Amino acid sequence: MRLVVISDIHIGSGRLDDCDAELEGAIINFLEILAKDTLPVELVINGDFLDFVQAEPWQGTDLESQTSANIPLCFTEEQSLEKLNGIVAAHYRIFDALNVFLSSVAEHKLVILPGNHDVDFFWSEIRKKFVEVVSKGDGGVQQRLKFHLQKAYQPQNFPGVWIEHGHQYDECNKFEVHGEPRWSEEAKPVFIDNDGKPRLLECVGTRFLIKFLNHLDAEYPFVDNVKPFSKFVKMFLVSSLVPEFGLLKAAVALWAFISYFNKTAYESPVDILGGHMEQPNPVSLFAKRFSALSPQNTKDLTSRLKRDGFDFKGMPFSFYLRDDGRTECLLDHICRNPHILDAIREEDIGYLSKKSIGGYLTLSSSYLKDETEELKAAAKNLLATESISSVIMGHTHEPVDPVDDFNYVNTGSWTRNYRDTKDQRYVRSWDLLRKSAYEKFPFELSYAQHSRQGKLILYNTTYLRGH
Amino acid sequence: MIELTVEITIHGDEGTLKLKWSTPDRTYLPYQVKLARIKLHTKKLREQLETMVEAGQKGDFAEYGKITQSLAREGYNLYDALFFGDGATDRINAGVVKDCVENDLIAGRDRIIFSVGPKVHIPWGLIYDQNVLNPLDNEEPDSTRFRHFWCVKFSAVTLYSKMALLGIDNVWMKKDFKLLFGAHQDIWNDAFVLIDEEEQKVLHCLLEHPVQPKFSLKDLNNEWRENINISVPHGLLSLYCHADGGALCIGSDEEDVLPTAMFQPHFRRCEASDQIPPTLVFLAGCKTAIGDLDEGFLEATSGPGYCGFIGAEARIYDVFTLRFLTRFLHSFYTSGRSVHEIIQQLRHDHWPLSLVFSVCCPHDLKVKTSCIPLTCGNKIPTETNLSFQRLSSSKGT
Repeated sequence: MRLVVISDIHIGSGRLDDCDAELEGAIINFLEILAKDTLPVELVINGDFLDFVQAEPWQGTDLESQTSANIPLCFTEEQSLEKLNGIVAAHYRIFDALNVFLSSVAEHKLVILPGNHDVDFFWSEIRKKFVEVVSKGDGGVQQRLKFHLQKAYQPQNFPGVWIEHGHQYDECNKFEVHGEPRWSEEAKPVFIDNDGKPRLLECVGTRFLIKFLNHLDAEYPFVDNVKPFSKFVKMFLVSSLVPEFGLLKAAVALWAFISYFNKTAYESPVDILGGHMEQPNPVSLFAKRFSALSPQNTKDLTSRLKRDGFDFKGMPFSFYLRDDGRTECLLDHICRNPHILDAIREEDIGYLSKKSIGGYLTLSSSYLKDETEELKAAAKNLLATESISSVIMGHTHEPVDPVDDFNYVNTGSWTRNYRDTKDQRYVRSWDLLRKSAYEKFPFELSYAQHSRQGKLILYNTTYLRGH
Repeated sequence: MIELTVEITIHGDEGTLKLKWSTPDRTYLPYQVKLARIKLHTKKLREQLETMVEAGQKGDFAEYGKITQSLAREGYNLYDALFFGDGATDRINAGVVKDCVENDLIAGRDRIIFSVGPKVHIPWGLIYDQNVLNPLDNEEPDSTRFRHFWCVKFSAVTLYSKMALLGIDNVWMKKDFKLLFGAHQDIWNDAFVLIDEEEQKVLHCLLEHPVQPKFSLKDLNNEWRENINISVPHGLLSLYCHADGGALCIGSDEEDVLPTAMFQPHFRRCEASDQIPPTLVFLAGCKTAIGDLDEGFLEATSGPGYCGFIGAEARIYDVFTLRFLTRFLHSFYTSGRSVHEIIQQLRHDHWPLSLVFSVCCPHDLKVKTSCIPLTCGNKIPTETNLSFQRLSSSKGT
């Protein structure tokens, strides 16, 4: 039997769907190849197979709630089901291909592990619907389609292999309450909200997507494709603080994010920005960012804010921004009413270049680190355990090859991700995230396989547009 | 009376302040102190002031005692920093001056004047020269218990070093004395209805009823120039509006923002003859005494024809500010007492929030008693301590 592990396919629906026709074709092609394999295959999809967070409907206050103890929650089972129906309708060919895979060889198996984008698999109705769609009523297929609702999966036929999505090592995306993990059959990430409805626990990263990033993603489809997540925050959102370097909408999203982080997760929100924020006071940077708006944009924005009932306390915009406390009020108001920013026409977006301040705005590979390193460290700890000889993770979207003394694989992602180019001096930051920058976002299909000798192998095929 | 003056200059390259103390009879050897240390304690002092104002705003008057004590503690740290010489020789020279301050000066009689350059905005008056390590047994916010603040003890004032003090006649004639009062209309409207009837009457009288304050920079400027043209410039310019250390905001239009650099061009005095009194400015807005390295009202209000200003070291609230300002103006206009005497009285009467105001003008400015008109004799009740009253209509200034 062969063990094949993939992850982070992020199949969604609607405007925010990352799985375009080309990607869909590649996934189907891959499943067809596996289906034809004469050797029995155990295919493990190690988290984020489906992207419920960005599947439609992705906007609306009813998507979020909280418990009486203020624990943030997101979708109800009904909402998750609506999303799944949308995903199935948009990508029925992939579900058909899964059916073909499981039907073609009687020993082929499919194991689904949920990730932070498809925590919805913890709903029984979602699993039931998924089985129904893939099996098409075939009892044999149903038998060989399993969900594994635990932190890690250790396949029976491959002793020593540890498969885990990895988000539980990521501060932004882990599911836990009061330090206790909520990611198992016994401790499901499901809570009752204030209205008595069961809902999914919402991690910080999900909340960020629902509240802020999805709005940007509609206009900038690759906005969430710069992974890892912390790299995105640092590189793009922080860049937006510098006038002429990024979208004001992104700057506001950053504020919303750090405010949210401040209220829920950490004492010091600026920590999320690590050492890359040299200025001690980010609020003054926001003020400068607003001050740099063109006179027309300033006029339009203030008119809109006043129409919305924002109280400038009798001060003109420029003076209002001179005080940190007042600027915070303004930012909070805009975060609660993000449509206000539609009043302005975004200025010309500048460059992320090597010349930029302190170098922290550059698109250099130095940012492809944080979560990747965290997961590597976790894998090292696991491998120190006698019973574990191989570790496979996903989540970061950055593939990691195994090396001689470190039998760890990260299967990366099957979505498009930003690829560093040699000549990046004239790469425009936010333009890069527009659809027109398609060629900068190739996809890389990686899958892990377990050799007879117990070694992990990562197979990569890079598909660039036009290839 | 001993008048101890300390000339303070900034040495940007070395990050130090150079202090040179003198009395009319003696000049002490100069010494240097670390600017960073002074700034650190200044920041902490102002934070305590903010805490105090916020406590008042919330009606947590019982907190005043504890906060005043913390303020005194920070004031003592600033005192310590003022005499913490940068090098060994500096420490010796600083010690000599400290000795004089501690042993030769008499509280209430003697004075300390800080003569500083444009880039030094430190609340010198809030220096506290006694260590307050332990909680006081009685934490009542009584000015006599906290009598070691230098603004109280030595009437400490700050003067811009380049101000031409020699031409200033401290006693003004009434005919020379005109008040120009500018206000942010929203703030004025909100606060005026919340002050006492007597206070309203006094303000009407001062503003030559039924004349209202000027509610825009343009109107202020026109009025100012009209009087300059007939050689009767205003002796007192009072601005009651939104503000910070770098700008005033008298209306909701961008044109109503007046950065410090534009203060003198707007209120030009250099055409005025030397015979007329210089203008004293009362900046009744938030944080007007806090400047930064590039801007501040100290320099702006110390040019030709000016004699400095009174400003705030923290955020202040509209009702408290208008009532304090009214009392100052009334007293200045009708009592014949000097700025120093009036401020000392107001500090005592409205303790502890009165500490929020810094005096950055000469002590002895006053209107000649024989010239005081009788028409503005309305009484303002003196028994009310404004610190324990409603501070705000809800908006800050």
